[in-house]
Amino acid sequence: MYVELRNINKYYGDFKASDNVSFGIEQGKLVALLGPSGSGKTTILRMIAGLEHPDDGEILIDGKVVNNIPASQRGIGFVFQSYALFRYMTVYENVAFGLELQKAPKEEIKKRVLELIELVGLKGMEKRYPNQLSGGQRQRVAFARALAPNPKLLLLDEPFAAIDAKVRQELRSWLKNTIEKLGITSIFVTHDQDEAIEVADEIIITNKGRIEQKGTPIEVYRNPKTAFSASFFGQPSELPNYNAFRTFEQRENIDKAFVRPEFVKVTKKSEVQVYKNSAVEGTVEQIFFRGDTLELLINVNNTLITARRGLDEELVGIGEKVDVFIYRIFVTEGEKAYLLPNLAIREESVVI
Amino acid sequence: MEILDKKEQRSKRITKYILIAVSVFFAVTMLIIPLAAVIVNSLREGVSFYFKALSTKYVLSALIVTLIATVLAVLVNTVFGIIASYLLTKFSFKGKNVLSTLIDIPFSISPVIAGLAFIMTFGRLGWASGIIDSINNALGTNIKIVFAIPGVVLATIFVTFPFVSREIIPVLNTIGKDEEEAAALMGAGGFHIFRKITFPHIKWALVYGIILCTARALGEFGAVHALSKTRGETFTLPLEIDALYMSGSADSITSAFAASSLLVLIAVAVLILRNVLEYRAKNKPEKE
Repeated sequence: MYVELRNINKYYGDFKASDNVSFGIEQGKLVALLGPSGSGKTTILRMIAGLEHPDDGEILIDGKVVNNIPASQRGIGFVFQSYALFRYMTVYENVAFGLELQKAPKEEIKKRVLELIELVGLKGMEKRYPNQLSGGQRQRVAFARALAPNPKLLLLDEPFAAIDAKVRQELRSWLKNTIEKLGITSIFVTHDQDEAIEVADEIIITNKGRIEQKGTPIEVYRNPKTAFSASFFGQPSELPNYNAFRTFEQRENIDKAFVRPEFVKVTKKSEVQVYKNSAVEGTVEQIFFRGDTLELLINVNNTLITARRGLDEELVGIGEKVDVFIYRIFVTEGEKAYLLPNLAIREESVVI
Repeated sequence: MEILDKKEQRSKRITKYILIAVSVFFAVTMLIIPLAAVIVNSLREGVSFYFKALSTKYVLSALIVTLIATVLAVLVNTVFGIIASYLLTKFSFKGKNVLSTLIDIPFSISPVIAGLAFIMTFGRLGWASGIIDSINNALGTNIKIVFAIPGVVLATIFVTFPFVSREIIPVLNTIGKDEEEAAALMGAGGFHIFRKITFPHIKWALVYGIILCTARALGEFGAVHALSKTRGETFTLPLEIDALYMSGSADSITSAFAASSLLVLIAVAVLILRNVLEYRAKNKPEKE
């Protein structure tokens, strides 16, 4: 493990920002700390950087305990949410700042700075000041500045939060590619699940100061291990009484059940529904146009379920009676989460 | 619709002119006419009398005392102001609010009381007079605080205490800690961060604070009055003006106006300087 946190606790007054946090990150990985705001993800990042100090527990970087090593000597590059560019310095001076502190020779500094400015695609803008750049460009400068002193670890705090949607998409893939190319171990904080899934090699889900789950995007998305992960990912609808939906295994001690839109099949009465016997009837309450799909809010026995239908399928109308079939649901039992498939599918395949 | 718009526009324009009239009337009667009267009165006996009035021993001595007190007060309060505002914005500690309130005391206390407080501290009955005496004995010096120039300087420092810090604190609060943290992460030391990162942000606020501090120091009357009793030695310009005016003869009253005109001219110069600096700051926000 390149970065390791062991039993970290951190209080701000009475507020517990980190609750026994432990995890490890392998070298060269791009990891996302994902969670809602106030879940303690930024605190974790700032403690790794040395900008905050844990009340107890150990932080290891490259096998060494760094708790008592000041932030400036941890060899970390940090990209702030606000970018924190030096407003009274040019792009060149911003990127050169860290190198000048290392007392590198002038020629070397110049070479490295120009190289980095080219890497982030801002060639020709060396003499600009931050207020003469767009949001995306500032983000790139912040990235170049963090990389300049050759850090072993790069930390990014909500790197895309302040950028408009279109540029964000572009920057995400750019950042992922660049970090992969450089091979630098990186941790970024985000509250956006799509961002985490798309960019990260590994996702660490935080909630209320605790680590809920860690795994590859596919793992955490498909197999949420905790009640929180199950309710956080996707666009889940809660089913207060999942027994009302047919052919699910009945279990005791179930607290909650969730279904994601991609697990719901909505068919018009005129369409063929293979699992008709296991489907239930619902009424379309609302329809939202989401660009590439239609999002439907369907009332099934007074439970609202979010589902999707493709634009190539026949349109449904508000108030229309439809058949709703659910492939699988997540159920939670205390802190644990399980996946329950619809038994109808299994029976069918056995018959065939 | 269009008629309504026109009506609205007209009522808006009327409001604007009424407000302009009120403001101009107020500024002219309360500020411009009185100040112009000072200049006019100072020249009543002719230009040569004006310069003669300014070059008397008393006025020159008062001018020098005023300048000494002002320069020292500005220096001390600039250094203190920067340190205090840095402390109050970058660190959190117990008693922070108390300290922040303490800095504002000179704003709320009458300057005369400040002067009396110094007398009660450093005067013959004050608790600190013993300390001063023992220092004088040990070093063979004859330092006097009360009714001497150090007292005048102390009083001036007291009344101009908050100006610099009150200008800088809001700026430091708005820029936040991010830039400094970023610099610290790259290994910059405290002073380097201040010089390279923080100072460019607060530069103009600092200049503005210094100007306000200067203007206030030049004009201070009450606190200095309590601590300065010797004309021609420890009197500052405002005290000298008061003395000239109170002596009552027509000539000395004109001299009082002549001395006043000096302060008015310095004040106007300071205001012009301020506007020039503000203009420059606005037009080159990104330059160092």
